[in-house]
Amino acid sequence: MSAAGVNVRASVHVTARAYTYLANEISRVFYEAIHAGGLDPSDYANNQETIEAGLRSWLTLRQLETAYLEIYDPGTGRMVTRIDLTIAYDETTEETYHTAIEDVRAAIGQAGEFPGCRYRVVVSTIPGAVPVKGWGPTDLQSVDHLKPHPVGTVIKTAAASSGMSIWH
Amino acid sequence: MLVKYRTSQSSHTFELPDSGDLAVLCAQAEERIKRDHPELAQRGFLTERVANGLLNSLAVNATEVDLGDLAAASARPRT
Repeated sequence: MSAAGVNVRASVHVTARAYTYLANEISRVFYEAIHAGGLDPSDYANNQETIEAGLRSWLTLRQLETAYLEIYDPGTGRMVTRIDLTIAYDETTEETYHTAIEDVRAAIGQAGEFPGCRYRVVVSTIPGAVPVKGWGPTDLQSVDHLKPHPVGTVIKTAAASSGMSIWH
Repeated sequence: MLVKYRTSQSSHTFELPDSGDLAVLCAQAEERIKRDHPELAQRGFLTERVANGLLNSLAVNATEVDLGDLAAASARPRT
């Protein structure tokens, strides 16, 4: 341990753990939706490292605004549901890690199943966010024909939290 | 805190000023690396590597940050 290392503020470690937890739990919520919708999780698993590297990088820099899971009909391209996880950067002194997974499951269950559908992960970031390998620019698909259903705060940490809405 | 990284066969360290802000730490580390090794900035995704290295090290209470070999191609596949 270096002499300077002793002076590292505990809050930096708490924040780092909070962002790591948040990135992992965003993946967990998306996996829950993929499983509940009867979809093949292998696409997500194959890209999980890239997805989470992006989430971790943009959280670290406080550039991540919302992570979306779009589920769509591959034949028409029409959205059948979308899950929005919107980040709020709100530091507190208490180190906490909580995911309201039962609320997530209940909300996802109400959206139904989506046999034969495909999915993708999209994020919105602040302007000028850093590039991350494997990610590129895109646009969200229209959800004008769907209605948003707010679920409330579903992931809570000492450094940031995530609210959830599901469109169906 | 001490930041360590490698460029091919060479190892490098520098001291990062204390801060409670991860984004500030990331910017300071990247700026220092770019100053000492401007060629690394041309390889792309340097910020991503620094941010992930900082997060991974600090999340486990490490007082030293190891960013790994910044000259190596990432093993992470493109999608």
